[in-house]
Amino acid sequence: MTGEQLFIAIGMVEESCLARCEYDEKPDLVADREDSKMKVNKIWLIAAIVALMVLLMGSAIAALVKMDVQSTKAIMPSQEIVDGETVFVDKVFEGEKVTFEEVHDEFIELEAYYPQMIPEGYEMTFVSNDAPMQHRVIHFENGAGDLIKYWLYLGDSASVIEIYEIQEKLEVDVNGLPGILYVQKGDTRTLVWADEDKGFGFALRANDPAVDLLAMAESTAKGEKLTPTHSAETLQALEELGDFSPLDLPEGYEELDVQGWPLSGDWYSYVRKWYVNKAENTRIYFEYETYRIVTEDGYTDDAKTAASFFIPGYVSRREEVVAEDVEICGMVGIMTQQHIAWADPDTHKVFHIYSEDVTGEALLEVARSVVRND
Amino acid sequence: MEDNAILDLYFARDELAIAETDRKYGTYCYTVANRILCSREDCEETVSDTYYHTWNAIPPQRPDVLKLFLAKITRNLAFSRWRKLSAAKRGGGETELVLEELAGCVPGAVCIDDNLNLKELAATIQTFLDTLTRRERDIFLRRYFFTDDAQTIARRWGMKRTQVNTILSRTRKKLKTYLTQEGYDL
Repeated sequence: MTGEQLFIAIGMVEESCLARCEYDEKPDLVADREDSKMKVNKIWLIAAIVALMVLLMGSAIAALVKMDVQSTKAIMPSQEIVDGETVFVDKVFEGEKVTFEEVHDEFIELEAYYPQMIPEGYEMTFVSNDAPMQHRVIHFENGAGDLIKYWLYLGDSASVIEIYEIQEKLEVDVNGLPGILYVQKGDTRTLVWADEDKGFGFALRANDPAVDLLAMAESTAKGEKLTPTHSAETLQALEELGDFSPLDLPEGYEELDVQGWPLSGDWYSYVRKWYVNKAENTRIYFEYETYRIVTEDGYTDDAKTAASFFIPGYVSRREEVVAEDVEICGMVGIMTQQHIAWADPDTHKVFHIYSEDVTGEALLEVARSVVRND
Repeated sequence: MEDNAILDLYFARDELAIAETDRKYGTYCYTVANRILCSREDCEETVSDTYYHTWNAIPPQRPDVLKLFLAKITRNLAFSRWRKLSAAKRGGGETELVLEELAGCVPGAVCIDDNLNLKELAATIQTFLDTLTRRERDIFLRRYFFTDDAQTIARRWGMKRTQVNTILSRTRKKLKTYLTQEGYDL
């Protein structure tokens, strides 16, 4: 082990750990960037020109796809919040770990729970599709551009909720459930409440003083099943790329969710599917997307190059990664113990299967069973 | 714009996501990179690379705290760049000092030869951090994650620089002991 390896390992600590360090970030520590602020267009230029080089520098993309299906049960605050400070909701909810198996069905059912009383002038404008992330967000907006946001989440999957510049906090009762209304700077208020028995948390935020947040929260009940806002894009992506899925999943696995996005602009389209074994709390992730590889010499159709980007470390540390060439349905692929990627140069599609929970051999069987359904 | 709205843009594959990320966290990412690289051009390219990686990672990832998600990517990309740049001209700079200090925590000749071992080591460090007080943990991460110098940390905590160095030295010793107990001296 070297100091460098220790430094790299410290760079892998969980964000929740860093959050405890970042929590009271002082503004004077942010360096001036002077006039060096880059134009965003440059980002795309750089990305296009040096895509290959950029990918050389990081091997973590594929490792980032892991869906964490263990979360913390939501309970109400157990710590003092200092007025005037900013907190993340994961700071006010903490508790015992719960597993996906314990809550998945309940969460899916609870997804249909949302405020039934919508303030006059507001309408529902966005419904997220975050089942794999155990998180749902709904937006209500009025003609004046005011936004009410509603969150439903399993425990600490709510930590994206930032409650900033708290001026006052009031304990409230939401249909028998404990809650806290945070009055923030300006007209913003955030109400968080929790069903401690089930381990679910809820939050509502508005910046319109006319909105009665408590009444809205109390109206939360089972309503009509909502269609996620971007479902149409997923369907379009499936049409564009084809609906592929593995036929031979290990016993107990079922498809949990599919998300996708069609080709737009000069980027790429993708389809991502999650498979879960609820009894064992394990999962397999499958994705496919269009690719275009830019090299110093121009574009390449090379399938192995395309596939290699999905194998962590293969491009940047080739000699250190134990990988083997495999053939998947007549296509060129690369395989390690946790990742298999293969590409079709004719259709410019690259496929990737990843799991930390099944063996490489089992994963290979899954990969080889991928067929187009439509 | 709130993080959740920015994340929604990423999920919608809307390029505004990058613009909003840059608007809200561009300076922050630059600062994280600058602590390691100290070169405007390299920092700017690292921040660009950070956005590119973020675009590729979200979805399916939906980070709990976008700022820290960006910090990790930026820090790790900056370090990769630093290694590449400094291969031919090692010596000097805060990063070099940090690495020298960490080298003192290495308990033995244990071989960390793959990503899996690094992940295990990261998990061990994570557990170690839980054993520290809030102040020790903050100072440790400020120094060894964000590469802050002792003076900056001292200002943050209203302490003298020597006090920070003492705490860091003590924490490094604790880390070495902890790693030894966890079998990293074999």
